[in-house]
Amino acid sequence: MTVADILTIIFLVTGCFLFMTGSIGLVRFPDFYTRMHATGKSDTLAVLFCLFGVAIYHGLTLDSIKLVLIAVFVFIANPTGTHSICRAAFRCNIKPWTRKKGK
Amino acid sequence: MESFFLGVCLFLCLLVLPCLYRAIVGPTVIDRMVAIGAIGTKTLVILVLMGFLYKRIAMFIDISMVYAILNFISTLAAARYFEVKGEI
Amino acid sequence: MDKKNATHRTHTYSPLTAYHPIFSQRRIEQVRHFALAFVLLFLFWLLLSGHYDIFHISIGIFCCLFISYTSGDFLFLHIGAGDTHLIIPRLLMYIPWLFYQIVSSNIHLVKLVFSPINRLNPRILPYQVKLTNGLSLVTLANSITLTPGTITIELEDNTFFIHAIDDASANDLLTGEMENRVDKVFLPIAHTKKRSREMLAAEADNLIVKTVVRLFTPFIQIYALYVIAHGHYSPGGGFQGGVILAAGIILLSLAFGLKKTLTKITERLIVMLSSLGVLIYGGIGLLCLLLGGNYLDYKELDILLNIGIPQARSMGILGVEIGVGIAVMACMISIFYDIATAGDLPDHNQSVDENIESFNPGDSN
Repeated sequence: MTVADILTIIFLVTGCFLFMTGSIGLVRFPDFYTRMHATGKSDTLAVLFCLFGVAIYHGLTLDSIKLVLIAVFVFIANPTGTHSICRAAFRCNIKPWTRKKGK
Repeated sequence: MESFFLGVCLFLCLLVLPCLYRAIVGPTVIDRMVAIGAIGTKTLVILVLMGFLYKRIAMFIDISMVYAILNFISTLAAARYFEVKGEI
Repeated sequence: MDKKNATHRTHTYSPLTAYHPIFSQRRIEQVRHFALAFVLLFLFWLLLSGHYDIFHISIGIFCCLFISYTSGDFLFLHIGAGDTHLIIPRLLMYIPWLFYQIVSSNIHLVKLVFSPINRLNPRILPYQVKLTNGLSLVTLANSITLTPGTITIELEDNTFFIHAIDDASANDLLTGEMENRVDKVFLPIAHTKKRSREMLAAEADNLIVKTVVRLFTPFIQIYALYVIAHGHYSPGGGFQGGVILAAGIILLSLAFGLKKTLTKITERLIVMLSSLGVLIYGGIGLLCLLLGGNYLDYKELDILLNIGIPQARSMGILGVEIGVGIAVMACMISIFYDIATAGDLPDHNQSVDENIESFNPGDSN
């Protein structure tokens, strides 16, 4: 076990944990927009963590630079996708869930 | 390390199940789209890890890059479709 | 346009520019855009390629020249090429802070996921900002989407409509710290206010998606060309690269509307390209046949090229990949056009008229 290996394990486990929260949120949350919160945010960060972890394991080569490029792409593309699909839902008059009064 | 990667792959495959639940149950079509998007994101990571397992990392990275692009395009396409249609 | 630039950017002014129309401000601007786009794309190509011999690098230079000619302008709509070097360091300073915010927001989200649903208190709130540049608005919108429990739902002029998941997230955003930081990042281009207001007006609908797509398109195209050119080392090849090229065009028409795409990439052009692709493929095959070999027997090409059998084979494969790539791209786009207009494309000699709405799903149902 080298330092790089340990770092990889930490990154990947964190990424997996975030993926797990995203998935659980996707199932648990009450309406479309809140589900978007769960997937849109935690998945982005999870992908970043996983790809960085793998890149660290691979060492500094052209392939790990490509991994970072994928991470950058996801980092910009994912929020855009989240925004655009939320906007579509908003324009389709999907009402956001609100907390019941008095609880 | 290989077995750890394999474990992570399996764990991510397990995590596809909740998303699949949402994709099947999801009250509206757009919920299903989101669930499929989430599955796609997981697949992207699984592909990279598979590259390490098969020792063909360069090839799998190219594939996962294309996968990321296509995932983005499919989300935008769905959003655009519903936006113009105006109802779900 | 020229006058406006002259008042805003005195640093590009030189005595030469005052006299000769060739050296007008606008022309200089265009050349700088082209050069910077080429440098960026070529760096991207080098990162992707991994084969640093003369053959591959010359293909790369050719591809990058082509793409920066066709879509290099996409990169510089909201900022000029002269400002890029001012923005990038500030952006790099901004990203660690953003990353910290993202991590803290995720911790918050993890807590929410594992707590009772009643902890949530979602609502939609308007949020007015004073930013003017399109790029800064997009940066802020995406940062908001990534950080504390907030998603940008709609962006109209300077007002964001934000879906906040609970009180803490909403209050966090309303302190305005993020806006100030984004404002600081784009401070050097604050002087192009008038210009960016015009652009905002032109793009008012769907600004975020349009800007992001514009930034991605040249890189996606370069990636597609890389896949085509490295067909014999990687899983790619003509088919895959052609599909990615087509995906880039489809992405453009998703963001900007089918009508605009149809005026730039007409159906006539598509038909010509698909025939050209098949012609290249079949032509190489027939050439081999004429030179005395079998169909697509590349080693016969050596008689013409005189560079040794393995190299001739490699060139032959590359030629076939290019032909296949062009044909596949054209076919994919043509299929997309047909599906998107429900088979109701106008004739190619008649201009694109009002009755095709971009994406009319009502027809296709």
